[in-house]
Amino acid sequence: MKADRQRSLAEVFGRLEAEGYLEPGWQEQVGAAMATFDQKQPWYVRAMVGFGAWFASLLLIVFIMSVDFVSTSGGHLRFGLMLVAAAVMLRRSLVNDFARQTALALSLAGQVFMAIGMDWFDLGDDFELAMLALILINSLLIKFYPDSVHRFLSVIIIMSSWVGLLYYWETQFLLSWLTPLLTIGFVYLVLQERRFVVDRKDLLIRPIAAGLMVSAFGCVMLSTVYIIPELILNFEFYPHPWVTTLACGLILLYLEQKLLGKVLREMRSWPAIVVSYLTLLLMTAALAAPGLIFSLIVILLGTAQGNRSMSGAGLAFLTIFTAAFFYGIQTTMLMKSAMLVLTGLTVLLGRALLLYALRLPQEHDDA
Amino acid sequence: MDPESIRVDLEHEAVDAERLRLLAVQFQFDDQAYKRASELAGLSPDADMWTGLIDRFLLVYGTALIVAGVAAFFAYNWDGLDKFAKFSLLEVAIVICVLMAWLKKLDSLAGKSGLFAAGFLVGVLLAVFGQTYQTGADPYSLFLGWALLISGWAVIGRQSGLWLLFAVLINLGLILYWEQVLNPAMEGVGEIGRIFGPFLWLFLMMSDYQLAQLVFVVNALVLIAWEYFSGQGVHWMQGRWFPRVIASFALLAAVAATLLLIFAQFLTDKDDQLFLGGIGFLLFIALSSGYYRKIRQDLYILASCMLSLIVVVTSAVARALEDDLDTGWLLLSLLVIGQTAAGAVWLRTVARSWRTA
Repeated sequence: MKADRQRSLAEVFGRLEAEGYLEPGWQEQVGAAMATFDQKQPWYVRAMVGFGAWFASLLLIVFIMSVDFVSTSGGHLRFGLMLVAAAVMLRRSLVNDFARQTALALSLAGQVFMAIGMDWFDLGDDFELAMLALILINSLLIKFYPDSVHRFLSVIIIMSSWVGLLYYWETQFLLSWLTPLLTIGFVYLVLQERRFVVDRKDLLIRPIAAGLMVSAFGCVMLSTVYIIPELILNFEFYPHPWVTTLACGLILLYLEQKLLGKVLREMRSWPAIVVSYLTLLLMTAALAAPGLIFSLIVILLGTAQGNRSMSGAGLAFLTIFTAAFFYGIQTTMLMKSAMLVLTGLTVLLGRALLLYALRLPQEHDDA
Repeated sequence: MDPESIRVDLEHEAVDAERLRLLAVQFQFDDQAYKRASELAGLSPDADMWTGLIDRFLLVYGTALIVAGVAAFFAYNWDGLDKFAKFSLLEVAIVICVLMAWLKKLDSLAGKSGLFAAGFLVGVLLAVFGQTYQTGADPYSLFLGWALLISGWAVIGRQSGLWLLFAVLINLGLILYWEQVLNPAMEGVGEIGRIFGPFLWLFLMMSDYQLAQLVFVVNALVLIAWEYFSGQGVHWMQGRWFPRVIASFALLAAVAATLLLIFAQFLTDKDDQLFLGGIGFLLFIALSSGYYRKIRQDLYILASCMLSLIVVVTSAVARALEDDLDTGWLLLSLLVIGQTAAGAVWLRTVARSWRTA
């Protein structure tokens, strides 16, 4: 199969019919499905919709605050709950775009009011309660609010709340473990995607996977933040980034074994062993820069799944992380230089060995 | 649906992962059928595809990391390294990159990567020159000189990466020239921005409406030129990421210039040219909406125009409501919801019209 040409619907479905996977007469059904497909939006349109909802909810919050509609903690809590409930009902009953946007904005605004109103319970620390409330309500909304943008945002809100709590409890050393955990979750869901599609659970699972991916990237970006010690004594934003690098490196090794098995023919052959050693070298070279390995995981997975948005996201992560890492001042420029050059050389060495092992002429890229 | 049109559509519609997922649900594929369909559609890469992808990606990735590492090394300004050693190292690296581009041919990926790396290292060489001899020249000259020196390679290189580097350098050179020569009053603002990073610096610089207008015009002209030559069939200009990035630059500057017009009451220094930003923005939106809908189909740029329009219209209404903002917040919220919904519907309608055309 050539990589340079996408197959047409007629070709693919014709072959499926010939091989007995489809009954004759599939053409009309595919045509009808394509009309439904027109309802789907590319990621940048969904991003615009998400931005619009977030901005609208912000304005709604300012409105409610400015007219002093609710002023007590109990009032905030009840009002927030009402807004969220109204949003769920609206989204479940109407499907037009205006209703979707309104419901999304109502839900986000409602969550903020609920978080503000949590001190009504007087159970302890207000911040902890607010974060825990956001985690709880969004965990429920993932299930009960049938909207991919909201599900994606819910995962982001849950993970942001956890990160907020880790900093609040001064246990941010756990962040270096949280990133690989999120990565494992994301990798698992993506690898199981076919099963979820067959079970018709993909509408639930895909936004969760995307949310986990973006959350993991958000966490890994914290490793590039550095505060001058004179401003905050002994405060580390992301302690032990090497833990994340090593853990993500192990995930990358697993994925290489799983996804590149066919290319490397036998996983016990010397090219496969070389790739594994080079990945270990890469982990060592990029020890202080976990984003480099994480981006590779996203790109590899996106490529394996034929998901161009995911591969593009991986490339964007790589660019943003490298720029932030370059600009951050926690590591000296000399160290960064050594790390980047060593990683680059390892990658080029890996490429040369792989191409040699696959008996591909080096002139391949001249074609 | 007319059966004949379905047949024609099916032969012209490519299968991507998103479509196959939808069809798998529609046809209730089991795991085997879905797997086979993915293979047939070329979505699960086979050995040849993997090899090609590994080859291309690792080459670009490795080269980019090494070039960034070289830049970091010289930014460290190691005292232990003699100045002639520094220059020699950089010049040898540039020569090696150019040789690689020459030997591997400019149209190959290795050749493109080599030429791009050489173009990038020229900037590092200029920076080391300024660092070593303390020439006292303003930083804008570094970026404009860099752009000038690589312009020849950009012309012969036939690659969008080098042109993007060129465009970024022109933008940075222009902004720095404005800050340091034409409007030194902005230098204080620039200094504050630089402390907190390049993005805040850029954001603060765009608070000068004349500069925002200028950046918009430059990027709009680059975009027009690109689309013109692309429309003439220049083969290496057919990719869409370069015009998308440049259109985003142009739109950001145009939105900044228009917002400054809307909230002009807060500006201390303004003249009659302030309104030009708004005219430029509207003109850009109108022309882009027509061009990218009718002539060169590009949903990304249309969506960017739509988002820019939402920001500008909402800001204009907020400005009009400033005396009654208490209830105005609700109106603004509904306005944003309505515009976003309408925008999503419009974009979907446009995408559908392309499919059925």
